[in-house]
Amino acid sequence: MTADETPSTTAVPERVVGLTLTRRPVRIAGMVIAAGVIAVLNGAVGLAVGGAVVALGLITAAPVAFGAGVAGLLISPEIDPVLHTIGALALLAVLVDPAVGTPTGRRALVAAAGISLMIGAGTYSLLAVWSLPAVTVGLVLSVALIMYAIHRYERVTLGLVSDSNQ
Amino acid sequence: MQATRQFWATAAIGLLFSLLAIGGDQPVALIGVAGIGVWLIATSWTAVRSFQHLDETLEIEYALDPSTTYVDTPATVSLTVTRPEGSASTRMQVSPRLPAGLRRTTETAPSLTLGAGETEATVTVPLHADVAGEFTLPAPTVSLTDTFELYTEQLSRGPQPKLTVLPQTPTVHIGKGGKPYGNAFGEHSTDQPGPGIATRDLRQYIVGEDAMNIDWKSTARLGEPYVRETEGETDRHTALLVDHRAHTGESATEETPLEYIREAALAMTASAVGHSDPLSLWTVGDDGLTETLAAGSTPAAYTRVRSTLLGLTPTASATDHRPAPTRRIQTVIESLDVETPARQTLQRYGTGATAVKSVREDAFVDAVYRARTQIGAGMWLVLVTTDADPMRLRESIKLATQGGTEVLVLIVPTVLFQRAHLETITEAYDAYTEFEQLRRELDSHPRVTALEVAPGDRLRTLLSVEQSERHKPEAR
Repeated sequence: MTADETPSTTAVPERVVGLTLTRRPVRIAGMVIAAGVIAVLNGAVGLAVGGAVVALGLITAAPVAFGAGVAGLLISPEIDPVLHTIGALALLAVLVDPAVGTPTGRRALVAAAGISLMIGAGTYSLLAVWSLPAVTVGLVLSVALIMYAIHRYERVTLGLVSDSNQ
Repeated sequence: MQATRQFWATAAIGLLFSLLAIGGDQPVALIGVAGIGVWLIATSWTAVRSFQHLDETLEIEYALDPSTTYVDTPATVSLTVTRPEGSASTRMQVSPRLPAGLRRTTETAPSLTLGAGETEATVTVPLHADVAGEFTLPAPTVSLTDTFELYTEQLSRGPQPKLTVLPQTPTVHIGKGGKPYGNAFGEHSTDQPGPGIATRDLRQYIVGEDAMNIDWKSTARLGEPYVRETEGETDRHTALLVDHRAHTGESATEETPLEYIREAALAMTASAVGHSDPLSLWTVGDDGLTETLAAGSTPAAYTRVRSTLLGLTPTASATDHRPAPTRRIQTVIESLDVETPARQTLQRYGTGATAVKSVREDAFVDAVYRARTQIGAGMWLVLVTTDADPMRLRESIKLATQGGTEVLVLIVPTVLFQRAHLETITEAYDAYTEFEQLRRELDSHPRVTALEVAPGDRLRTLLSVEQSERHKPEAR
């Protein structure tokens, strides 16, 4: 097959930009649960916002849908630990939805679950000690550092880094 | 690993929430930051693992057909990529790269793309070479994209095939008087007895000699012990002296004498390779030697000779000149201070000596002199040149044969390149006759074999047209 032809793929990646109505059950379920949490927390306003979040979440890419859901949770004046945790888990399912059913998806899901536990636990622990801005900065820097370490590891293992000093 | 636009868009969403968390004092925004962070780390790790697995299992076949071609003759390079099912989750694009001097004949850049789940693809690229030479095709570029299109990577993987492009020489005739001579590059003997197959002599056994040498059949037939001597066969040092002065590039036709000179020299190289003979190369430009390759019989030495020959172009008069070590010739005439009858008698010989001296100032003659003096006896000197300067060619042969050196001279008749369509056939034939006389004169030397190297079709045309012209009056 040449470049002129469109390659057929078994897993069609989600686009960040571009509107396509999704029919993926995990995504739909996650968005509906998140919308329900927003509605319960905020009443009639929450219902309207939840509807908008679902509508947006079904036509945009997973990261955008996730962002819309988190933004919907932000309008709540108070934090309900149980409801917010349910909402967060539902939105996390929306985020990892592209990995469901793909050849490498299981590996990505396992990795995401493990990392979620570590980062979630670490963030929650730090919130008891540090201020919110400090925890946020620490979280962003940690993610950036881990990403860079993975990048360097890949360069070395694929032989893209010369051993010589010259 | 390079990030795609989708990666940056996703990361931007995470950063937006981090700003909300810091500026708006919103702890819920941390869900967004942590969620995006988790997703990016998980996908990057998955991408790295899939790239590594693909790199380990990827098979790339990159083959030229043919591997040796001619200028302006089509060739193809086929690229086949195979990967196992387990590595087929990554989207992959493989693009062949071409070195300078080679170009593809298709308008669009050829490449092959394997989507997720696809395991094999082939693309064939038609190639065209405008210049002669040896080209090494760089390894193809493999572009990988992960399943989620967040990361890409470019690798250079696969073999690096070599394409040899020879100059166009449609029909090279090597022969004598228009007839092919097939024994120019054949087997060679040393003219000395030694181990071999061909019988040289049968002589009586000398007491003390190894009994193993006795030829028992001859001994039984003649009643006395006899020894059969055989022709010794050995590696022969071939010194190839190739002319690429400016006149070798002058032609009224599409081809130049240099192309035929090169073809003949490459044939000699192939012969040396076939016999594993040590081969040295001397190339001569207008200002003297342009390249000297010491004798060698290793594949690398032969490759150097071939590369040098393929890269030869007619010189201008600006090449580096390395003049021969000059020796002051003190003639008898110069030693006579005063005008005497003896000096007058010797004067005309003195003029001859001056002429010889001026001939040696010629680049080709000088090169022959250097080659013969530096390499010494026992070699086979092969001169490849044109008949542009018969006097200096004679002088070259004279110098070359000194000391018992065997010489093969391959001469390109310039007459076949001076007339585009051979309009004045009689003139052309006369010029060719002169060339043939020169060749025969050189060939008459016991240690010289002189052969013509010419475009076969043009030579055949010349000879056949002249023959038919000659028969016309007889027919009337």
